[in-house]
Amino acid sequence: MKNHIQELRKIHNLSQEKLARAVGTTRQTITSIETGKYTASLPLAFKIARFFRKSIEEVFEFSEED
Amino acid sequence: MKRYLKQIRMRMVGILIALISMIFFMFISGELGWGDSRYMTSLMRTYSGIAFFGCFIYLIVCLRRYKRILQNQFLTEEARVKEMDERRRLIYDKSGGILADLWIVSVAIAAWFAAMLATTEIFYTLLVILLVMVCGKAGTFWYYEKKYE
Repeated sequence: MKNHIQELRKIHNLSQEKLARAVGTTRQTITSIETGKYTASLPLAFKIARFFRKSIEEVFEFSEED
Repeated sequence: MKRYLKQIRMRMVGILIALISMIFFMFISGELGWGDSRYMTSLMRTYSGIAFFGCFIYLIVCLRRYKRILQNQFLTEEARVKEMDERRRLIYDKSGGILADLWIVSVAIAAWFAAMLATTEIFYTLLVILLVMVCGKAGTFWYYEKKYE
């Protein structure tokens, strides 16, 4: 699943560590989500989207292949 | 956070019970004449020693770690986040989860009993099963860790 977390982080000048702390997860999980190797659960996706004040669709791109 | 603190305290109580039981069991097995080195092979002696004292030391280390976590709020939060991390939990579940851990512990205990009672065939069979299970768990954990890295 494609996502815009890395771009959003850069806009907000945030490190992976800080984002991870804010949404209650680890830096490794954020790295895996950014690289697309791991798909975030719905609660975590909501937390990330809410943190950036965006909707889930603005942060995560869903395609039928996913 | 309160729920996690309660969980840690419960684990500490569990560890203390396990430690006391192990000390008690050490005396009982001595009284019953288990672990007679005349009938045990060198592998049995090594295994029974490593399994018992290794487990004992591991439990003490865990107890100290939990005590440190309880004393420091920052460490508590860090441990909670690390433990509840969904990626880590997924990898843990995919590599067998709690059921695999229970099986490994059960087989390890059974192998320890077999070693102490010097029942060679059972001990070697259980040891092979234990090694296969540990390698399987470690292998799948490593595979999924790399997959979701």
